[in-house]
Amino acid sequence: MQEIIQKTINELNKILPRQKKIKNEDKFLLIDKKSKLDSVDIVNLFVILEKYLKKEKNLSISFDILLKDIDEFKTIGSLKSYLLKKIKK
Amino acid sequence: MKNNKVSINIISSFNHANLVGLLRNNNDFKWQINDSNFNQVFQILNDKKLNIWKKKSDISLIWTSPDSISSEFKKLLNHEKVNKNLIKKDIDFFFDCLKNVKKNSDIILIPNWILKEPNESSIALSFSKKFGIEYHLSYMNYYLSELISRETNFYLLNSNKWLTNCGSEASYNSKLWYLMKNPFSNEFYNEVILDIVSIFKTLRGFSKKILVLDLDNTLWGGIVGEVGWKNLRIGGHDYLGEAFKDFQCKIKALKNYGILLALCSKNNESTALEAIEKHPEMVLKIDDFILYKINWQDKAKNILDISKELNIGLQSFVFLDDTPYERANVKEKLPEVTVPNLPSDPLQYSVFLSKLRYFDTSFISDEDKKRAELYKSEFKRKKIRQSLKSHSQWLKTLKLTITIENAKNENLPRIHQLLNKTNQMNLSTRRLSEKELNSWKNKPSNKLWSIRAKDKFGDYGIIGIISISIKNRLAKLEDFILSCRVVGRDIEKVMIEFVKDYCLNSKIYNIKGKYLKTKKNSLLFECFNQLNLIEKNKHSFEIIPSDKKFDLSNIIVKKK
Repeated sequence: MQEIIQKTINELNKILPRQKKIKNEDKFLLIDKKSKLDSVDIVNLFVILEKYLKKEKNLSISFDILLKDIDEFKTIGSLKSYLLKKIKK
Repeated sequence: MKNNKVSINIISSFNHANLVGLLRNNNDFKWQINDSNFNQVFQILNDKKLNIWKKKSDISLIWTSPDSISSEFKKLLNHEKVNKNLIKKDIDFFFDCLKNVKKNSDIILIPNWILKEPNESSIALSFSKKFGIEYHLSYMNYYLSELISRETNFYLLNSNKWLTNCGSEASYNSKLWYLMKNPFSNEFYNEVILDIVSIFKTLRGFSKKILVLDLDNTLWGGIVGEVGWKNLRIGGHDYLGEAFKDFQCKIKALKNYGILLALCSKNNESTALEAIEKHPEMVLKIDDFILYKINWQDKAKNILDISKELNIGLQSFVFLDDTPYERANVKEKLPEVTVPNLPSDPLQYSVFLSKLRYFDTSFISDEDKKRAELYKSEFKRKKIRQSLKSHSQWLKTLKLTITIENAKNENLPRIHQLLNKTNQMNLSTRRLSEKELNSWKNKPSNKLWSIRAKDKFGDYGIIGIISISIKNRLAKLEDFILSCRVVGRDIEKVMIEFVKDYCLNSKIYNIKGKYLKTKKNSLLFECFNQLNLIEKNKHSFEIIPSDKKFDLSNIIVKKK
């Protein structure tokens, strides 16, 4: 999972400006009032993440489900836990 | 180059946020991106009061989908019959809007039209005159390219190449389309950025001039010293031999449009030359190479020697070698030389070379086509120079004729090329687009001349430029540019005397100039210093037209 998250961050960081670059740290804020990411960045995050989940784990999560569970993506750490749960299921 | 600022306006009919993001993180230049709202192309092109047009930019990228330009074309997507004349009218209107902003950017880049999603339907109808999407798309692109060719600073980019390089499936992203109205993937945008960077470098004179090649396992399969020339793998009924032959054909094509070729190989010279001369499948002949260094010396030293002998800066060199050690060695010792990593599989060499963008060009001049011959005549001149005692005796023997003429429109592409490509013998290294140069030239207070040279060994073509601007009976030397291959044969003196004469005849008694130092133009300073035009450690200088003339008795000067 760590690898998928890292690949997603690397790819997303290629689009983000310097002040918005994501760090692979559990406390790093993704979807939060204090987060620097905007809606376009979040869409990109989900699209890239989805690509790697499909490629590496053969796991498909629809965008609707991701939107429904959006509260789980407050930080990188909570995103990791969410994905681990999904994979176990 | 990383510190060079490049401003770019991006206008498109779809959400280009990801392209902007990727471009901002691109390290080739410092990008200043002027973004605009997407899907408002016509509004933006027709409103010159918008912020985006307030300051002239280096590049404007105007990217539209065919259905956003032509409502008639849109009908095709529903398999409705269309009127080609109406499509043509839509394109005319789009082109008129493009022309509105042609003065607001040095370069206008327009990707040719492709669909926003893969078109897999109705294969049989693709090229139908009534319903064919591909038929009409081809027509639209053809017609647009015809219109664009009328404008000097408009360039049509090849979107189909991006599709081919990425693969159709990897180019599109339907999720991004439905979620944010962005049809293309980031991989696709990376291809786009490569081309934007490449075309900008080409137009600003950053293209490479010389390709230095290894022999064993680079131009042919095998090590000639071990297997002998008869057993080398080139051409024939051999897959690997064919790959090497194709690679040589691609290299020969580069030579045909003016790229110089040189050899740098660790071999016994006689063994390698025998292979080049005798192997019947060799496409490249020894005459195709301007120089060869076939010996057991360090390749970095050999490349440095080639650079000195040809008087071409190392930044204009590309070195191709199959051995990682040799590449690393040259990279380390000569960091200015571009050393791409040749693929380990020779079957990929040909495609690899096609994808290298170092040799791109926007214009091929007569001088480019005969560049190798020009350098070869230069070697003959140098040989004579070695046999004669004095410089003036040599100049006399050459029968050098210099022709100075007002810059003519038909010579403007070559003049523009010299302005943007010459690094060493360049007073101000100002870089202008052809359009900017033309408008500068057309101002009555500005004068621009081209310098041609020929001698008994051949015609050098246009090898220099001088320009001045005149204000209140004072001339300012704006450009003093001379191709480095003709430096040191008193042409610089001819140029100075010409300007002095012109000014005296125009009752201008003072010419001012300023040397703008760059990393590469110290040659000009040394030359001006030797001619007592500029003092050491000073950048500004004055030339008095009535001052004593240089001795030009060994040169024939013609003024037109």
